[in-house]
Amino acid sequence: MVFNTGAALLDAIVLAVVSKEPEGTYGYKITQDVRQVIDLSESTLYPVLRRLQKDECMVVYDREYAGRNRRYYRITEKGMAQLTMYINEWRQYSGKISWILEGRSQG
Amino acid sequence: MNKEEFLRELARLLQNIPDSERREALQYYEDYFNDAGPENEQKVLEELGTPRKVADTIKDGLLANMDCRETIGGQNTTAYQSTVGGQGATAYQSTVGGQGATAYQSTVGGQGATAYQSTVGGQNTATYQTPPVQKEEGIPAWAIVLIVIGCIFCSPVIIALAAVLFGLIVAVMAVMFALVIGFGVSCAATLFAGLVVTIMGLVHIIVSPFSGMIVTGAGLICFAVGILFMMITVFLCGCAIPAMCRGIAWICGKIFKRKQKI
Repeated sequence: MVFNTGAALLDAIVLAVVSKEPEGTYGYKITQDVRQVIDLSESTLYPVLRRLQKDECMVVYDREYAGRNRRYYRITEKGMAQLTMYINEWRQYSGKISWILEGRSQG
Repeated sequence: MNKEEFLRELARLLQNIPDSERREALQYYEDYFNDAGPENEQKVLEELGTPRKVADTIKDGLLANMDCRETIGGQNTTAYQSTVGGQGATAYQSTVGGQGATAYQSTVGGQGATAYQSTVGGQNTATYQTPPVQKEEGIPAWAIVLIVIGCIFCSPVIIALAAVLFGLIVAVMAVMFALVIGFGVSCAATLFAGLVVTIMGLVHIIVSPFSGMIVTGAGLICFAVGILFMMITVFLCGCAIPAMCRGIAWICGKIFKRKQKI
């Protein structure tokens, strides 16, 4: 991949991944899901998750799994609002880029 | 290195961050290993890199969070770059326009070389070992209160001292003026007297040469004294008075500075 994934885009991707699971999802799975679309070092995600959690875009809770507590991440209302903003921004941005690169307009 | 060793090392490296942050991070990585499963343990260890690198990433994240909180509302630039060496290098970097710059960068070499850098506002470089603690600058509030109370109690003394100082300055100025006027008047008087006496002497020489010469001599001495007085007056006006003014200005400046400090 020659294009950079910025902090904002990474936030958007993580929020999107987490929002796919209404019950919440856990660190390892988030990492695997994000890594399906962008190349990402495994240690990069923790600070992002922690920041989103501090910004109240996500909440964490522990749930029992296979005899131990597993930490789950679930998107909040604020996180959803943030994600919606990111989606709109992305639509505009990618539309413009596609238009200039490929010469076609996107709605 | 296995999972336990990795987590122990990570815990050790995270000793200088808040307890809650350390627990959170350790829980995350413990979960991560558990969810990856024992069969993937080595793979995860390889991909995570050294505990130091992971610890640095966590600390950089903490620092970045702090920076974000500090620059909330203001414009901030966040540059984010991470390069994972090895076969293919991936770099991601982003700039969110503005002024205050936060750059965090981690580079992982093939053999575990880790570089990190964090710059806040372009001026101070902060590393995670010394998190930017906001120190209150200047004198603490209680000290100001104490100083004010002290000033109130000492005010009779301070006022008296100020009055004395003012009196001294006025006295010095008065003395100077008196000297200037005194010497000036004496100068004029002696010059005039010298001139008159000399002329009288010269006139007298015709009548009685001896006494006339004496009177003329006295007149010339008188004139010389007048010139001396004139020189003193000129010196007072040219040097002493400006020096005195400078001195007074210096004293006033000192007092003013001290007041500013309080």
